[in-house]
Amino acid sequence: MMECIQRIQCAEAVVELEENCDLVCKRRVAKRYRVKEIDERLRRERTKSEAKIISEARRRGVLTPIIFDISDYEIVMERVEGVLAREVFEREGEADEGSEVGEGSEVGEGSEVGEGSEAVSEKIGEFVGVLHENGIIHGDLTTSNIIVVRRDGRERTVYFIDFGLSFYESSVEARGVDVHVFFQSLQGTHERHERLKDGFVRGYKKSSPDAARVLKRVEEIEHRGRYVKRKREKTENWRREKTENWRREKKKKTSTPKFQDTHVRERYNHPSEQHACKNSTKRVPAANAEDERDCTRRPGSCYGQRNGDERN
Amino acid sequence: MSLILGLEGTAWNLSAAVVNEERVVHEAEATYKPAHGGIHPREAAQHHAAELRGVVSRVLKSLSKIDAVAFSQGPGMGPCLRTVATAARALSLALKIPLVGVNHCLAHIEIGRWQCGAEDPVVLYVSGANSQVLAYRAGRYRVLGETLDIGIGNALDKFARHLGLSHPGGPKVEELASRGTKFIHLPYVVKGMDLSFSGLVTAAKDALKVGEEKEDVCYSFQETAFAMLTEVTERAVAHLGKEEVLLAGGVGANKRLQGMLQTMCCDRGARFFVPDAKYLKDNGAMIAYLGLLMFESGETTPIEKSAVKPNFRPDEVEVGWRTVALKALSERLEE
Repeated sequence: MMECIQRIQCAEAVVELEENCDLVCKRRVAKRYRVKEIDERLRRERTKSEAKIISEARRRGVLTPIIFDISDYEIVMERVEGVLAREVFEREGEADEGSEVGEGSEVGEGSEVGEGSEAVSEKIGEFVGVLHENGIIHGDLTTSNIIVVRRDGRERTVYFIDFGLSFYESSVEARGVDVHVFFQSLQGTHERHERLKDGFVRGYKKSSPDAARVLKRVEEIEHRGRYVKRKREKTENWRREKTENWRREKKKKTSTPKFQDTHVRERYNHPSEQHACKNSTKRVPAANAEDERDCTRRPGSCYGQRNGDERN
Repeated sequence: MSLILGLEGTAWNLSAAVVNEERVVHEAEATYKPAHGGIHPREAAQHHAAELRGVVSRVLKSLSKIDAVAFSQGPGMGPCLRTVATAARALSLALKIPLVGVNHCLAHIEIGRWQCGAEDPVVLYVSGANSQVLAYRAGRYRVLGETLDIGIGNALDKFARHLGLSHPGGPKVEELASRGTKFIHLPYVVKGMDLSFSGLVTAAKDALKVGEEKEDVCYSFQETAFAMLTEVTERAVAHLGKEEVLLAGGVGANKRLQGMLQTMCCDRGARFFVPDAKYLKDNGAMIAYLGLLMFESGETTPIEKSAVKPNFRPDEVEVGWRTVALKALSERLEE
């Protein structure tokens, strides 16, 4: 019906910007590589849930496009004029764009390069916090899914798009993975990502009362696979600490069942172990061992088992 | 021209090779086959210790001189890594040649780039313990997405063991899957760029319990798992705007996975590369080749820093050799 002026091929959908009207049509296209059963189910489910969550987020105060129409594999929504966060970060990370960066709220604060990016990142953090507080997990928080908008010289704000992998969940784990995905996208595409991370954390703390717990979990998630060095150090520190505590406790009272229980429980709760132990339930009884050597060795052995298991 | 000896033994395949700038000069291998169940790290290491001498002497027999010895420093099973590293150190000291500690995962990538001629691909690295999507950026290979629990190979092997198939299970599951016709819905878990396979294994076992045919479950297992891998790879390609995809690692030998990636690349207008089967699985040639690249860009590993790293990550390594290679190329072009 309307003449299509611009087609953008995303990873899983085609986005059409239509002429003379402020509409965007996002259509999930069939993927030939996967069987029809998977393909149709994924496309239908993702379209439906995306539309639902986009409008839900909007009702909760997070900027997302307004939805006008929805069919099996297609959503028609408002067109948001702006620049992708990825481009903003890359541009401001590379060159000194004084006029661009210095405007708005940062004026007069000795605007250095990238300060604007940090403010944008803070705004992103704030909105992600709101989403999480309302039980929404974005599921694909990358800098390509966030549009930075400035209207009439007001402070820059951000729109979230592509809720195709979103779902409802309020567990710390799900939120942690969500934030982790965002940090990963900063790391994968931007060289000076630490400052952007800091900005995000500031914003996230503003709007989410659970921020501290979530951010702690994010660290744990990183330690599961990434940044193994830090994990190793952390495990060693923890092991040393535990051994000392254990000795101290042992001096106080010689093995009572009560003490053993708390000892085991603490172990289960240790961050780096939670994940690893899932794969090694068989070994859990060993945690009861009273022998000191065994107790100090456990984190390492558990960890080793996860990673050393059948590597090709 | 330099001759580099490479030793590989991170898991069940012990392999040695000698390469120079142009080709693989010699290679030899010995494979550990568990009597039952999966790979037992200690037994695999004992196998390597028993076979090392024979394998190394086979590749060295006609050579008077080699310039460096490269070994896989990690990631892998501790006991196996230590066995091979000990041999590498001994050779380095006895022959008075430098030692080069190599990241196993990067070796997979580099031999693939070398053999296929890919310049700057998004890499899907799938093996027993690893499932990662990587791409080069600013001096390192970055991990863009990876499994949050077990590797795809491990998932296939676990499921195969449940079916009573012997190690390695992947090819046998592939064979069964080719006869499957009915698709059963199994959990499809993609979180952003990350994947999870352990729930898939459990659900597949449950499907067998309720009486589904094993061919159908294998078929559905593969379709689901590989669609997840392909989707994440496609996301990486779209996100980074790259034009090449390289497959690496043992699971890469699976024809269905290759087919899916080929279709995806074809639809996106990207080029798809798969190395020969012998370079997909663990092999000494890739260790020797990356050892060569590192050696020529001046990176060697002193003995005191040659301790094995069972959890060695590809993004820990500063990639010096790619810039060196670029320099050499531009010099050659100027000439």
